[in-house]
Amino acid sequence: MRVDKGLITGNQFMFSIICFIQSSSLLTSFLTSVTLQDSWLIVIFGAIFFIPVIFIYREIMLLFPDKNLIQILDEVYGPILGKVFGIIYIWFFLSLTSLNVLDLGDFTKLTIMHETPSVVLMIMCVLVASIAVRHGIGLVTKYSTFFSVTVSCLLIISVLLLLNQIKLENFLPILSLPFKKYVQGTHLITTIPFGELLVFLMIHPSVKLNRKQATKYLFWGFGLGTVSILVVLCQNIAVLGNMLDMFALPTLVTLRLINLGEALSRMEVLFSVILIMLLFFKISVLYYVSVLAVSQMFNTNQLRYLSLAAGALIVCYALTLYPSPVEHAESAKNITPFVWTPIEFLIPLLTLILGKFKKRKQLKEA
Amino acid sequence: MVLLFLRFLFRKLRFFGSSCLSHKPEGEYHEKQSDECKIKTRLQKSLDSIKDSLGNSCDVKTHTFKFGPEKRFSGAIVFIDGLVSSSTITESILRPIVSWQPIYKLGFSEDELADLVSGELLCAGEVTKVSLLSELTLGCLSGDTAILLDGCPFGLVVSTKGWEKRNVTEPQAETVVRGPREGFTENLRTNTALVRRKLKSENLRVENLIVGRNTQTDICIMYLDGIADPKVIETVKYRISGLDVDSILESGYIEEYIEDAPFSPFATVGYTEKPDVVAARLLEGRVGIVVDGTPIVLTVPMLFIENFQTTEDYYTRPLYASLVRILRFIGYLITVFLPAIYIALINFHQELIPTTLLFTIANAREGTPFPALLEMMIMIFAFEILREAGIRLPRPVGQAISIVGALVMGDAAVSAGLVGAPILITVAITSVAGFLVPAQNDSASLLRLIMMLLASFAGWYGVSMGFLAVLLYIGSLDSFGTSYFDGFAWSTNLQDSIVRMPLWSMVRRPKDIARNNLVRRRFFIPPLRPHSHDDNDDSEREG
Amino acid sequence: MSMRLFKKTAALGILISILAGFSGCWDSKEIDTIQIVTGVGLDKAENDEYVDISIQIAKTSPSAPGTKDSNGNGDSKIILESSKQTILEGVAELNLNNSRSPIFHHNQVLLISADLAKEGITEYLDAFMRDREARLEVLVVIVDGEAKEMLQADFEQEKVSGIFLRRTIRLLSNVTPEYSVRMIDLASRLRDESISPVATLVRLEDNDDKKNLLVEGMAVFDSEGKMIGNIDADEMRGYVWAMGKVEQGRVAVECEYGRAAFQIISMDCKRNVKLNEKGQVNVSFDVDATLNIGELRGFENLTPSELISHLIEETEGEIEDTIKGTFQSMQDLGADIYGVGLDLKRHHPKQWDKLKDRWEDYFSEAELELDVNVRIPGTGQIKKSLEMEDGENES
Repeated sequence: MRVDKGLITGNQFMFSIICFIQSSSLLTSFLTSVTLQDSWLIVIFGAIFFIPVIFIYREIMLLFPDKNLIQILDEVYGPILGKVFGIIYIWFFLSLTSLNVLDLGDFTKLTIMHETPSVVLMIMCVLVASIAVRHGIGLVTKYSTFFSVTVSCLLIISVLLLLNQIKLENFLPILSLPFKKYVQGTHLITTIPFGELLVFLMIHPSVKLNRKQATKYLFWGFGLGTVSILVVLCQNIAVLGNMLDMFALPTLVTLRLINLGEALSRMEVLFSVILIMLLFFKISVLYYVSVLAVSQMFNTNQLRYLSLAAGALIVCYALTLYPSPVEHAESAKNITPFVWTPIEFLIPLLTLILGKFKKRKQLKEA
Repeated sequence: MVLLFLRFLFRKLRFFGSSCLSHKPEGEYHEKQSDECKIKTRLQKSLDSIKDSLGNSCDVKTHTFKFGPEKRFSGAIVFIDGLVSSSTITESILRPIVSWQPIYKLGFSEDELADLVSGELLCAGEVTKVSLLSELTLGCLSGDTAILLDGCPFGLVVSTKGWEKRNVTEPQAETVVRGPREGFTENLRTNTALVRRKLKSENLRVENLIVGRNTQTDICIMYLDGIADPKVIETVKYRISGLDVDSILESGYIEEYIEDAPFSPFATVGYTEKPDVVAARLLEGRVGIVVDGTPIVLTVPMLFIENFQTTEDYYTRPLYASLVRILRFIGYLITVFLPAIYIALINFHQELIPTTLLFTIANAREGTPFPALLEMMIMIFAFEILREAGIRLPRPVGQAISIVGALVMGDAAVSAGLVGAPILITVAITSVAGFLVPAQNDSASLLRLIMMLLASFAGWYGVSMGFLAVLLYIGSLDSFGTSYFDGFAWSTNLQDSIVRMPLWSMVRRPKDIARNNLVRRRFFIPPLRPHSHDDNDDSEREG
Repeated sequence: MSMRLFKKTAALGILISILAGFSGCWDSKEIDTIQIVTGVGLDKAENDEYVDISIQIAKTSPSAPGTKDSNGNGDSKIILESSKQTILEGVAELNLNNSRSPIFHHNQVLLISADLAKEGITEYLDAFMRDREARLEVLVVIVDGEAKEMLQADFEQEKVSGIFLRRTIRLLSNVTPEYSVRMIDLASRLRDESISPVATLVRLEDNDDKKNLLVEGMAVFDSEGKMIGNIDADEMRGYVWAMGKVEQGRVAVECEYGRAAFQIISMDCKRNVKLNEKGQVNVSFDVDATLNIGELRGFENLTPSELISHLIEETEGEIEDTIKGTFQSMQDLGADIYGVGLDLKRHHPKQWDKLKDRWEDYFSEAELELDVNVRIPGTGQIKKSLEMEDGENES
């Protein structure tokens, strides 16, 4: 039984993926504090390492075209183990949503609204996101094209405005950091920005794709999103140089430095526009996926009524996650990748193998 | 205590909501199919019944005459003075009947008298045979002449409409620089004729409905068979014919009764006053609703983008039209968000304003008594008053007073130190930008207010959240089965949204509206070139 | 009560209680409750623990016509002073006895007096970078004298001296971006252990009651943020020319034929750093200059073709001398303001690791190879000066 019967087009799917990944381009401080000026290499390595994982996701999508992740887990692992995994994934989705809500609240508070308690900011965001969630997947992903195209244009404009401050020597020395950092960096980037693509396994029943289309949309989406992150990261490294790891939001600092003849200065409004749009999109997708997972697990149809309750839960969860941004950053560097790895890589891989096995057995029996 | 009060409130609202429209009237005007309604064979009795039901009004005229061989038969005509053209009555009805001199023996019953008169005598083109008195009276009230024949249980209703009506002139509200200047009038038939002149297609269907107990308004539904979605046509017919209201005075009434989102500030039913607009929309697969008595024609389904499209876009060159369309979008954004952004920047984010501008604004606000939000609201309120007054004032006085009012209010307010000049300029730009998209003035005012409140509460973040909330709200609206706003999705609809691509490149109709018949032209890049004697000369013909 | 009604009332109750919590706009600051700070000055206080902080605030005056027009009447700025141990405490004290709260978003310059700079500026920069109202494009300027006096000075061109300073220095940055030192540039250089930070050095000159600003050159710091010396205006050119990307400026030469002054159209410098066999640092600057003749005096006995080649020779010599002179003084100071060490780190990171501990010594013993190439494509509006003789008709 599908809870939400809405349909979205393949294009919206692709642009949603792009938006998702682009939103991480603004909050890369956990990555740049590890691998300073080689962060762009890490992005490329991470993308290369992530391609097999996209293949895994695509295969799962094609193997179970009409079932979302919770249903897949139920079918592959049986009722008991499937429910256990389902609960793990529900926790995963809720945590992701809360983390992003916390990010939005904290970073907005840091940049433009200094005195407002972050709970107010979070509640406003979640209330507006719940409008989207109540109306289903169609409304949640409706503005993906608009957001991603606007953000891409703004990023290009910002790069052009910063051309006079870009110093290419800031990229040197290349590959001079200890090897351990590269491994850590690659691990970081594959789990935190890229690995969150797992949530699209909950959405794919709403998109009717065959093999060729699925490949096209997934890879194009992933590719363009990665290019966005690369562009932003390169811009930050080139402008900031060795000050890169001193700031919590390097992109904000580079945008603040735009100064074209003293007239075009103080452009951090660009940053807040991009941040709010993208993070809002990500939060609404994750919020929708959490509510969908919960209602799927407990076999209800009441998406609309669960959404507000889930919203309240998410805000409370977000407020209690970390005592301060410092711990948040520390945990993001050291703990979170290891927690996410089994959820994002190992369990889907296992699911794919077992799923293929089961399908083959079913075909043989039939 | 509070709960009891709330429960009382909810009950009252529910009652209020349900007591409109869904109650059947207590049989006041129910048609009783008893003998009383039928036309009497006695002429005098019928005449008396008609005069009774119409209440002996002084403009109801009757005229009895005798006709036929040896003036054997008698008949009467009933009409309402002012609604008919007397020359038509004389020429089409009376003269042929009264001067009828049959030279052959007649052997027909009195029942067939009506058929004889209508088929052989009358010189009119539109004759209806009726058997109920109510149909006769309805015909009289519509401007037709009712013919009663003594001894015949049927009557005839002949169309003799001839009242004073307005000429086809340029509409006041939708002026164009380039393009046809005809506008609809208050006459239903003129309007449908104007549309017919644009669309000489056999597939153009015009279907009639009558709504409104006291007004008995004629409503015509027009669509192109084969292009319009049958589901939409069914929905429109169902929603209109199911109405049980007492009056339909204007198409706005119909709009409110059939729209999908009655509480929304955004209109989900489009309207226009120009026939070429209606024709273009019908060609895209929409359904038009023409209401007698008003020049405003409704079209459904309506998309949000239509607010920003004018016909002139399609008659001028694509590049310029695209620029103007972008300008309209920017204008709409300005009129909704500029006051809010101003308040947000001034009160919350002084760091985003360049330094010299900040000094200017600070100097201007020094000594003004009100906080920024209040100042902005006062000025916007003043501009709304001016605008509304400018519409209502009689023409000779209006211009002078609005100019004087604007100048005096603005200048004096600044000199007295009540408001600052930057706020005045902001409000002026806001108001003027609002006229770029005049159809959305009402929704823009409401949204502007909400955005200002949000901005004064949470600055830039509040405005952003408000913007997102409005986007989501618009995206969630539905208009007769199509989604109101597609969110600039990556599809061919983009050809006609922010920019206007050249006509020869827009080969498909909007997919959501015309679901079946999508192809409207064959793609080619102008100009057509003479062919060099190849086998396929398809490109000579435009598809 | 039915279920629906209960749900509705519950929703209403929750919403109302949320609204109660939203009463108040925390961030809202009306414009007439703030003061706009345009300059901050740090001075040495008598007490060694303390630092003198002065803040220059641009006063706003009602500009509505009909009220008193105060363009130029009276003070257009306010100077607030306080003296405390940390900058935060100092600013807090200024907030205390004030009718409006100062905001630092539009701070134009940060003035540090030379005495204070000699003791180290790193500790003071932290407050200005950490504060959320601070911006990283604030210009850091060292004042030879008292920062307070500079803030109090009235200049004729601008009403407020903070803005005046910023505009002056930004105008200088048309020559080369190296002239205007922003907070981020200074911090970036402080962070790196090899390169020495520099900052613009200014002085206030008192001519009766007219005050003049003199841009004296640049102050040089060591890697810990203590001011160890300065370079004057001429040496500043040597520094800037070696850094490259110069787009304005002048060169003046004097030779046996006469004097000549040139305008710099562009000057670029390619740098190459390597270690030679002896373990010494070998720096080679490759300067490519394009000059235009600005003014000629003398040169009576030369034809135009001889003129150009002669001038090229002379200017190359002049540029070499200037750059070498500055390099030598920097080597004496032990301050690597050119970023030679940074280049080494970037291009040869392995070799840099060996040197980085005692970089000052290595820098002092570095060898400079200079190669200057000058092109003179244009001679201005006239082809030869009035005093020159007629040669063949060529330019």
